[in-house]
Amino acid sequence: MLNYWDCITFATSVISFFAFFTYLLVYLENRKKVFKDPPMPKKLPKVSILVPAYNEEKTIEKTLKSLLKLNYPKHLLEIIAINDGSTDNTLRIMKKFEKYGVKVIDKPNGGKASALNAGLKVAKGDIIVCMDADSIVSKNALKYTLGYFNDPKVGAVASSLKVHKPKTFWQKMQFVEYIYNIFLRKVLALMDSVFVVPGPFGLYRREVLEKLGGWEEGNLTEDMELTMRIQKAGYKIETSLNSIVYTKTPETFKKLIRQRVRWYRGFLINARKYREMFFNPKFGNLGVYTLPLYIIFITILFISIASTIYSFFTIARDFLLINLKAGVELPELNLNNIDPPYLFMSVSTIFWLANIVIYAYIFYISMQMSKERNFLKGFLTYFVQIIFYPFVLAYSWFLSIWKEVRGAKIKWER
Amino acid sequence: MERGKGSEDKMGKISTRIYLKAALLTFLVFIAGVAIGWYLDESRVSFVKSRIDELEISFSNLALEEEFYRSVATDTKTLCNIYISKTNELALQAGKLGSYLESFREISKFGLHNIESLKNRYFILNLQLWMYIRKLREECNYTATTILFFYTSINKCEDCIAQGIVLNQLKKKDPEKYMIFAIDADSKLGIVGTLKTYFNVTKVPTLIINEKQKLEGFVSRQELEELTK
Repeated sequence: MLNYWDCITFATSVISFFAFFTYLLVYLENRKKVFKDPPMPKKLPKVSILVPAYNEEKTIEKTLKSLLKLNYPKHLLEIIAINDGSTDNTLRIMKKFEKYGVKVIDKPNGGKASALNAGLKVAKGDIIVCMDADSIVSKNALKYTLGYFNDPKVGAVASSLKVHKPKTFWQKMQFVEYIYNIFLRKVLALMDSVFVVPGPFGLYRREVLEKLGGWEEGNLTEDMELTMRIQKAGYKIETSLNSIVYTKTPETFKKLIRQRVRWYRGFLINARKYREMFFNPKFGNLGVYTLPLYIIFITILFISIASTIYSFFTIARDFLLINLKAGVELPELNLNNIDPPYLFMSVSTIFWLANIVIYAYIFYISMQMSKERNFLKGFLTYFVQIIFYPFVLAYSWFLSIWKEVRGAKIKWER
Repeated sequence: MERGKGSEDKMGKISTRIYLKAALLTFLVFIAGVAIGWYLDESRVSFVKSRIDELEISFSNLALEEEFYRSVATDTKTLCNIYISKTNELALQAGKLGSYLESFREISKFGLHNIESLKNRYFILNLQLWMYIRKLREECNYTATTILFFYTSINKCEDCIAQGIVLNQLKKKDPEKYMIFAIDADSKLGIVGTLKTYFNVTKVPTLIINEKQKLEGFVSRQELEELTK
């Protein structure tokens, strides 16, 4: 008979199939043009790149070097490195780049948003680029992204983020996640519902930033907050698949959880701040689909992880107790010569398999979109990822909600 | 720049057509999934059904053969040997079928009533076999130990599952010696009710050994081996 596990499976599958088909249909309708970025404007705009840094001595040099290599006329490019009161060598490394024309601002520590605002004050560009000091940009990034601003409705453009040299297990897991997000961000941009322009190489129209008042200081995820503000003001947000940025990601489980708790608490805070946008048809797909789906996705994640853990423990407990009682030295699996193995598949198993297959397909499209060619390695990582990663995400969400409910003090960590 | 105007165009744009299409596709996939599930349930039922059919035919055939030989021959000794080995074979197959039935009952979601009716046929067959073995024991000096095992599958009964494992081990160890007949104590079949009343079965698991000895609650393998020496 149908038990609670089947009901959860059915509900979860229906929502996940629906999300899958929506994304797939949006992608299919636009698949001929997803890679086509609009050409750069005839009159090239002046671009200011803001690089806020707090204790980034390990990565800032590579970041600045990659920015200097950008394929763009030097007289139209302004790089502003902002030292946000670092206690390490960040400032000294920044100063080394002054001779290449990098402007350096040194200010007391005040958070990333305050550093960005300080940079915005002195920046002369028509386009303002936010560039995290732990990322490396590909040299044609500006060439691919600037064209989107030809449309006066566009307020911001996001780049495609990839994990920089994934080495550890957790970085490899994030590699898959970032690839998947490249697809997702493109599809969301096609649906006008991007709600985060990530920190590494996010472009903004200066006018829009000034009109909306720059970055909100003290916000845990100032990038999401600004994106939501831009969306609320009615501007479009685009993303380019060709503009690729490599970013350094947490190497260890502990660091990963810390980063995620900051992101997700930031999401919760900003979701609350912009709660009137949820289910609000005035904000189009973002209001009626993307934002609500995100909340539903978190709920599903919790329910399915909780029931997986619950059934795992009950099954394991019963198995052990019963076998101990029966006095079996080695617990034996009761696989009594299953003739046709498919006969032992229940309807829930079919739905879980279907889910794995459709998301493998999405991952395949994502690999194509992010121009990753090593499909074998990609898929092996994907299959490991779908086993481990949901637990990590659920744990991070749980911690975030817990801390938010308890009102734990906010600490800005990478 | 006419940003204000442009923004109004963009706001409120909802891809209704895409959502409708996606909903339709979701519906189709869901239905397909349920249909596959239903098909598998049906395959399970027909798989078990064909096995039961075969067993029933083998059993009727055995009974018929016996009747025929009895009417023409006198040498019961050799006849007995044939019947005992055939009965052993049948009991072994019936045991396997029983474990199929129980695991299918858990997996099956839609065609449950079919499985239940197959279970009834299976119990009847099983008890016919039991009666036949009792007869062999009287007439052929047959020494196998019969065990009637009353269990429940409605409430979660850990002792029953453990007892089942113990009985399986016994059967595996000495398939000719132990003739085990598992009976769902919750079955609505008249014969099950009759047996329960006759042996006064009030709880599960209960084991009836050689129709004489009643053991209530879980019995370990050592104890069982000791009792049936």
